[in-house]
Amino acid sequence: MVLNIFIFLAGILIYAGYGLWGLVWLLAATGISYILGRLIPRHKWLMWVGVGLQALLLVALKLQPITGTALLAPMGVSYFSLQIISYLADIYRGKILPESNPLRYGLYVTYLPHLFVGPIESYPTMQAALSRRRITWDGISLGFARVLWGLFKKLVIAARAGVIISAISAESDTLQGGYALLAMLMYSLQLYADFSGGIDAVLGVSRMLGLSLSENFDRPYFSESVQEFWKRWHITLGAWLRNYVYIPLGGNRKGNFRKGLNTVITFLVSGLWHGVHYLLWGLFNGLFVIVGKRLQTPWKWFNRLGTFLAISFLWCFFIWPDTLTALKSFASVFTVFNYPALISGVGTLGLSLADWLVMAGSSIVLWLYDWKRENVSSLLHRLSPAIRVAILCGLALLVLVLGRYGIGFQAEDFIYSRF
Amino acid sequence: MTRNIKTILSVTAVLIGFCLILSFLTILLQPKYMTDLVEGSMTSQYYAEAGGHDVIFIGDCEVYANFVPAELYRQAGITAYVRGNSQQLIWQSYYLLKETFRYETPKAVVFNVNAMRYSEPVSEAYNRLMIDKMRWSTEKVEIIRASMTEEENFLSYVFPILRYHSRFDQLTAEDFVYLFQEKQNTFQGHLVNTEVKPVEKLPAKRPLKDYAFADICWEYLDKIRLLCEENGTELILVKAPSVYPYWYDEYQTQIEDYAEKHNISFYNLLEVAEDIGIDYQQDTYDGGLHLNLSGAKKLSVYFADLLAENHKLEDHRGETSKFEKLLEEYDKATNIGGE
Repeated sequence: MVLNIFIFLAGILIYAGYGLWGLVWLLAATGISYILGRLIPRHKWLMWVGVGLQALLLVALKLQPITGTALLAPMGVSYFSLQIISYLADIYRGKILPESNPLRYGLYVTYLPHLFVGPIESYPTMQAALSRRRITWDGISLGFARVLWGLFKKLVIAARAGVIISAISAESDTLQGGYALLAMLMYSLQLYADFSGGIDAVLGVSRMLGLSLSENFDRPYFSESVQEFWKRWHITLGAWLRNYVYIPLGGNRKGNFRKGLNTVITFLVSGLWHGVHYLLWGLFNGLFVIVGKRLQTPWKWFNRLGTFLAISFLWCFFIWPDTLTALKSFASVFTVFNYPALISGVGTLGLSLADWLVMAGSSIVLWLYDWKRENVSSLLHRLSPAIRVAILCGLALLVLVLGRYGIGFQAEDFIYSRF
Repeated sequence: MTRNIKTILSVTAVLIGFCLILSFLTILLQPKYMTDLVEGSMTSQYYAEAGGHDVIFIGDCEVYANFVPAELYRQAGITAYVRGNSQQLIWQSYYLLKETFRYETPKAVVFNVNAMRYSEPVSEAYNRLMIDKMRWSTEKVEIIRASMTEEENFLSYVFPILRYHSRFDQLTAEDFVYLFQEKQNTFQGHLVNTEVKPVEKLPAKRPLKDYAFADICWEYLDKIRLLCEENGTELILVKAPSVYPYWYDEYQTQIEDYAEKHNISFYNLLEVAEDIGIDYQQDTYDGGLHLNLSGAKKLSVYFADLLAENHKLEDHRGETSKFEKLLEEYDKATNIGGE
């Protein structure tokens, strides 16, 4: 109880540092949805008021580039809005009872770590995490290890890949063809290391506090189809979209045409959640999911490579700020044959040879870890405290020395904290 | 119980090992300032020679390039040290002087007023050159707090690895040779430069919008004055004979008024450059910004006479072996003994 109060108040205080307007929005959204949640069992129509209000505000924020409005989006609005919607909808459906304890509900919405990059929790999961919370040595040491692992991914890998992508995207008129392909492949690495690194940090901090939150990634680049990829990437957003968009639309119960249409609509919503600029990205993903299964071959690694390339190509909408440039850059991969020049040109993209080597080595470590994750996890559990501390220290030293942070480096936020 | 003790001991051993490795990496990755950017070693070189100085110079590059303590000693037996740094700002001069009083109480402090024109931290690089190797004290904490630019943070001064971690791929032989040792790069704070680059074309002397020195500069000049008074030390203001950046008449008037008001000596050595014998075709190494060894020697001889005559500083020649030895080392290094 005391720790819950502390986590809640500390979160609110830190959040206030991001702007009072955001804090007012967050607290108002929390307060109003708490009251609506209590009233919904007796006045079902209030669900539509609560969900409508949240959805309307979120859509208004996402459409700002088109509407030209200048609403200041509070930090984490994309995450807490979805959580509030799922909470109200679940009460309406009778899946859960309204929470009577305002602190517990307040923590569900305002729990600071997940406002940065997720995960997007359902209320039952958070409730279970809060009621089972226990601070243990295992939780502290393994949680801290996970935080360090997340920082390693973010500062050692993602930050270096980001340098290359910035260099290429800044010269989108001239750096086409091979450079565009390199940018898309590098973005696959950067986004994964950045986003999953952020999630590692959130889950690690939560674990140290005794909270077990949902995993958001399950080795996504080992997927054999785009459909599988979306079950392994940003899992909690995928689950939310399935439960609150795809299934209410009819899911796969109304024939193949409706199933395909529902899939596309769901991915369009996913695109809009990222921002209006990503609608086309959502559409392509939806189409890839529909046709992807049919293109699968009997060769596992071939499928994985194909899926990885398809996903990498689609990241072009994230790399280049406007859709036309993104499409032009994507097309140049097949029309501009400057691949031999790329070999000598990579040295001019802002990374030293040492940086390339560090990034390559660290990416291999990341890949091996993902491949053998269960083994590593069970090994860590079996290790003596001294060896565990030694591993933590080693990881901390790696991050301290090899990380790109501080003066002289662009200290960028986690990519997914922008959405 | 035994198992618990064993666990605690082994975890403690690991943590100690971590601290040792971290300390080693911190030292390894920090710039050594021994053969490259030697200006970064100037603050710390004082500690090895602290004590016994009658005169302490404080200020920016105009003091460490233009004044030669060894020449003051040769000429008038004045024992002096130059605590100068590149772009030393006036609050840095104040805290550095405050630190100096921990080690010794000089009879006179000479402050070069060129720093009065700068009221904001200039760059992180200058801060690092001055602060990195300073010993930890309340003065160092105050210097850091007063000097940090917006992009800096205090923690990176406490844990320099946070600042220098990215040097892992730029390490040179210097980083290993001077891992646990230092060499003296200066002669009592004077950085010798024998190159010659005559004054040719200086930028146009543009009028300024505002010539008034900033409040913060006056505030720290007052602090320096009061600090000297508290310690019974005479404060002497000088303007070194660097022809650029321009020392405007309006600057001169403000300092003259201040000096008169507080009964402080102020010497604008730029005005007497001809009397000193400075030849700006021969005596500067960068077109007039700083004097080279030849010019600095002329200036130091002149200033030694001025200090001895006007400020009655004692002649220490032959008294202690320390300053004789320092003069000998200086002569040897600058090849005067061989002439």
